Amino acid sequence: MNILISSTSGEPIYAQIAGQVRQLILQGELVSGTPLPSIRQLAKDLQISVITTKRAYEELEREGLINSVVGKGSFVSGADQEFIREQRLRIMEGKLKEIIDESRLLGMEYTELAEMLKLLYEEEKE
Amino acid sequence: MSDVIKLQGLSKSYDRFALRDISLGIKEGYITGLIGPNGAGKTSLIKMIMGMVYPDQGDIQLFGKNHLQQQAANKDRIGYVSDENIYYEHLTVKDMKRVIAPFYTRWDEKTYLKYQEKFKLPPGKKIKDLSKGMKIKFSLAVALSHGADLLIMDEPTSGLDPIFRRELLELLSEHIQDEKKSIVFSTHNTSDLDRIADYIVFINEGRLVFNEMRETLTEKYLLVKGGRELLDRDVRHMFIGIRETGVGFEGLIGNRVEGERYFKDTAICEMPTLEEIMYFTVKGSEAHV
Amino acid sequence: MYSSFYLIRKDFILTRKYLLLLLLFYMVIGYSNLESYIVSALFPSMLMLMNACSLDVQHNNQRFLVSLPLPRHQLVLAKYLSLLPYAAISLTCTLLIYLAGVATGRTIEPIAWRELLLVIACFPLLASFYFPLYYWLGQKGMQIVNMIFMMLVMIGYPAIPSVNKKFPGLFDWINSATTDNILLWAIGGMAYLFFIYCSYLISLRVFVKKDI
Repeated sequence: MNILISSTSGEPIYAQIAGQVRQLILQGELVSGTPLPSIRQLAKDLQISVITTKRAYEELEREGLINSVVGKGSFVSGADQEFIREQRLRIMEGKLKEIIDESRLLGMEYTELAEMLKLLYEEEKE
Repeated sequence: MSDVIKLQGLSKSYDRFALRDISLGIKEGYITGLIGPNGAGKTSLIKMIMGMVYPDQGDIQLFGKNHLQQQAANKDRIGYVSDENIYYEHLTVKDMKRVIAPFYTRWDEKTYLKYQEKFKLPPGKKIKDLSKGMKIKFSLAVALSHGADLLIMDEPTSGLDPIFRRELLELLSEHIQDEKKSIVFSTHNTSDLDRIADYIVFINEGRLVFNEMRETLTEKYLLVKGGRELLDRDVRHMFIGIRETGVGFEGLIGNRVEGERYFKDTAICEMPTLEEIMYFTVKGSEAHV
Repeated sequence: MYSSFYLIRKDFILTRKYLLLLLLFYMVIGYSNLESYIVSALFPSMLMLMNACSLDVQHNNQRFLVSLPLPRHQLVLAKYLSLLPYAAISLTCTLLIYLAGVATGRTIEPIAWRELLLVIACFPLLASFYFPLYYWLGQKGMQIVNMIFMMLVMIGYPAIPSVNKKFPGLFDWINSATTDNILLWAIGGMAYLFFIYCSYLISLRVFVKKDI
């Protein structure tokens, strides 16, 4: 498992950690039951404060992606496929919204955007 | 979460300087950074905790015990790294270690030898011939070898190269892995150690400015950059400190929400760094004198 | 109690090299056949004590001592207790020189026990003046205090013959006084110990709450 922190991205460090772990879980790279590094170990490895990693884990816990057991550490939760699919859809929605905003900046109509999407989708298929 | 150090209304006057009514708690199991400009009172505060200086007023508790009465037992659990060399300069590293070891009930020779090797400490070299970095490493080796539950370090990185600073970060995070050990260090240079600090205690002119969680600290403040025409008498009052130049101003606001509401459309609003918070606070307090 | 032992041990580790110089000093005295107990028994003790004391206040060493897990009064107590080994070393060396003198046939008179013990007993007395000043003045005043005390010892040495002249009976009395007047000895002894104890209390008062 790789977690890489950028100190120039402007995104808070806890959000970077949470985002990358979330990504790994949703992509199926981290499967249910996989132990995550302990909060203090991760803080040590990334040379950041304990509370920053704690905050990242707390956020993932809130989303239901990981479970923390006192004395044992944190694990990828046993959330079912349906739940994970939902989460992934939500991420997709987010990305689509970004694309829509971008297209508006460029003055594109919906039909133009849909055409572009269709073209790319078919290209990928081949 | 309990406090490993608890200060209550601590005051101490010197000829030209005074610590005034400092009350704060240092959390067990975490790293706390004590920041402030030179002469803010960081070393005096540490000396008081180490029993080198007696407060005129106030109360100190360490590990939940009254420190002024239980000093010896408490110090057995403290590792102290001074900003200056406190060891006998003409002794060799080995002899100095022989002097220190018997006083600590939990001294572990094996651990010491491990760190001696790790830090490449030359046992036969005299203390006065060690570089500044080596001296710090020696006091760290001593502190870590008697199983200190609380590590107190006064300016441990001043005058050290970045490579050792990195090593120190590693060592410190290693030290608190068991969730029971705590670290307090002071620094006037916020850019190096503060990234692993969980809590920040900020002292300026002998007074406590804040004692906050590092993670959410910068989110409470707002750094505003804008044109000078925005600043009138009332607006100036919102700022902790302002720096004005010919081409605009930068200022720090203590209440992020309020600041954003006011300046969102007219100026650049950013999250300040710790250094900026320190800079504008000190600047602001100077302006009010 | 253990900590006093280790604090005194620390003083000896610190002054190890100077102790070798002391050996040289005794060899010179032994060779020159100088028979003054002040020179052979008081002077070296005082020198050892002052040396160890000044090393403790140099640089930031006092901060090191205070950072140790000891109550401050232990630091003071250990310094007072360290008078015993210093006195013992001086006494032993003086006796060795005497024995060497006898063995080589250079000394024929019997040893003046009482005079020797009196000089040795002067050492804690002198130190009892020294310590409160030492704790009070710290690093800054140390040099001056050391010089004054060294001068006192030096003046004491040539002063003895003149004391002898003024009070001709004194030394005879010291060397011949019998144990008949036990009461007098007991009172003297008590006063002596009381004086040292008072000095200890003053040193404590000065040092225990001092800012280092």
